[in-house]
Amino acid sequence: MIICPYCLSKHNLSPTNNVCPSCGEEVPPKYIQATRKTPPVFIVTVGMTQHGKSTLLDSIAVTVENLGKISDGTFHSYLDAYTFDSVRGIRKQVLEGKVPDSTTKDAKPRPLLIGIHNFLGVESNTLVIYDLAGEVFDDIQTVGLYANAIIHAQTIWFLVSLADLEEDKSGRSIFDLIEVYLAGMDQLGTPTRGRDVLIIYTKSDKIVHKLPSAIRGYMGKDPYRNLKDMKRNEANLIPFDDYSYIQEMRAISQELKDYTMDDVEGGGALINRIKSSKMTINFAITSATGSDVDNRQAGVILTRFRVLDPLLWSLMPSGGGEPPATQAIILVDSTAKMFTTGDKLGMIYDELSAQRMDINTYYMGNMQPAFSALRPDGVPKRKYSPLVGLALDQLNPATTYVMIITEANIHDLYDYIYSDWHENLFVVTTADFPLTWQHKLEVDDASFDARDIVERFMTIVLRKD
Amino acid sequence: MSVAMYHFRFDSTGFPLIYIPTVNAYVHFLPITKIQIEYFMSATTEAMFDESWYTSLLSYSERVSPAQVNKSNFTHLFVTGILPREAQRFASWAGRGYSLLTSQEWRAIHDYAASAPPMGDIVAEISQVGALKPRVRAVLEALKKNTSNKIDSLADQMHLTNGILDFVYEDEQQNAFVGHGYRSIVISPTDPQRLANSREGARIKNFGFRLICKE
Repeated sequence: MIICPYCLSKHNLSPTNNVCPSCGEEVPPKYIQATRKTPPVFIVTVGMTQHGKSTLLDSIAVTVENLGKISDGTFHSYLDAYTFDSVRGIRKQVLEGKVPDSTTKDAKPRPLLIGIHNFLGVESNTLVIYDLAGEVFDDIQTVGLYANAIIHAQTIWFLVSLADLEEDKSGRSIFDLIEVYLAGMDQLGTPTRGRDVLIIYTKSDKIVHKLPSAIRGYMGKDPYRNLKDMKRNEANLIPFDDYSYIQEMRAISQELKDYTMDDVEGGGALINRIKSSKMTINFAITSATGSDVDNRQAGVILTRFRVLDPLLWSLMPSGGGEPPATQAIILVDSTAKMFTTGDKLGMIYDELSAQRMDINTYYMGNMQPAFSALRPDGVPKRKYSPLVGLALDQLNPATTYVMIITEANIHDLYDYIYSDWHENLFVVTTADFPLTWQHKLEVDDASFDARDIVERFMTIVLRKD
Repeated sequence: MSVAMYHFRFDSTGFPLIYIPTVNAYVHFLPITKIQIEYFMSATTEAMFDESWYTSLLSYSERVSPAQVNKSNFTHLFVTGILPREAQRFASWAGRGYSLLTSQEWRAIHDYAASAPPMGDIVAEISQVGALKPRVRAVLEALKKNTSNKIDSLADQMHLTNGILDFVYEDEQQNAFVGHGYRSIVISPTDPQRLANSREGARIKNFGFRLICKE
């Protein structure tokens, strides 16, 4: 199943059958090929108007286009004409010394689709970036316009220009940003748990004098600040060492967190609010122009400080933070014909994915996960016994919820009746199969609805969370 | 932490073995349980140990979960109805050094355990070696609570005599099998119980097994 990047519905698309049945858009064949191997990385950028979102996106595009200079074999591709035109449009404005047009509310927002190949040990990463209008966060009613993008984004970039925030006469603080976002998520009925929040301080050249020395030093020492204009022999001297770079980036994230706690108005509340919502939080700091655009002359060579960092945070698994605290296990009876016929397991997997769960699938009677590619695909030749203990004994009931899908009598289910697992096991079975369990759902072929099954499963997850 | 009365280690499924000085080896503290057999079924590549094989075993002794155990069904935690050659396959899978007991070893174990004092708190004693898996703990606690006979010795706690019989090799030749563990007014548990087919054995409702580990 491929997630259409335009309407975010899921369909069996292929490079030759690439028209999305839901929205009628042609999904780029390259996107389909790449996301079959590695799931796309959905990013939503949010921030107040004129806090530098579009400028940062342009700088990231410039950096992506030049990654091959420092990372052997790396190259990029813009996967549709809209992305190509958008990047070129923003580029033109930046090169002419104009402030890029502010992102404006659009009834049908389109994402930027960017492929990054042979980078960080991954053959193809696909970024799906939704640049949300600043007004969204002035008016919560508009959140619905971006519902699909917000629901699917694992990573949320909050772009904040602290200098502009200080001058903001409306009295808003950094805390207000996250509150509007969380209210939007609540309005959409979407859990926040496990998502990765990246706070990006933009236009840092304006506040550099206020920053702790470690952060100032990190900014000034960016080896790739002039990547676009760097000659090959210069770039060869500073090949990208992902391990070292990311180590340093993590350390600075912690420094920025401390700075936010201590020196940014509303910063402590922001961090605590994100933590209480069970999201991971990291920090980055950039200066995408190197100087204030108001004072810059056309044609000047731009300096981009640390614009690689947001990209790296998003390409690392789980945004580089801790893995999601809660995982879901689909534990399937391999002889359950009704459930293993067609793509029912895959549909359940997709619905769980939309809930931001870390998911694995096991066959009953087996200790190892069933699919290396995670998404269920097919049934095993070997028929395993209907036993749940072999998988459950390997897992942690403090952080794991299990959807047991069966059409057979499970030999050992009651081994767990008074255990820590009891509240975490949700049994899905056919209507005519007698099985007693507290959290149970009976379905049949005609009424099978993956979304309904997952919604009911989530009631036990959310209740305990 | 008190000084350990006995020495334990765990097999790959998390069930305990106890050190028995008279055989200078570790022996499964309990007869092999159905949970252990389920691990074996999952891991073995031998196709015969499939769901239909397991279902046929369960026809000799219904599976019970620790929470369902009572004084009349606690032996259903153990696997019975198994053939000696199937128990040998389990022993091969269990790892290096594991094998079925011989009759002589079984008697030496019994003689030691029958004169050894019972543990006050089995779970606490075994837990000194390492954390018990939740299901292993549940089995031990269920047995402690529901074993019908009076516990006079370590042998009783090991269910050497108050549960099922163990398949053992008749002698060092390892060609034939007998059973040990039956106790009556006239029969001692150390008296070997002859089988109708001593070379192949037979599926018998109250025959299970345990392993010795000499490594």
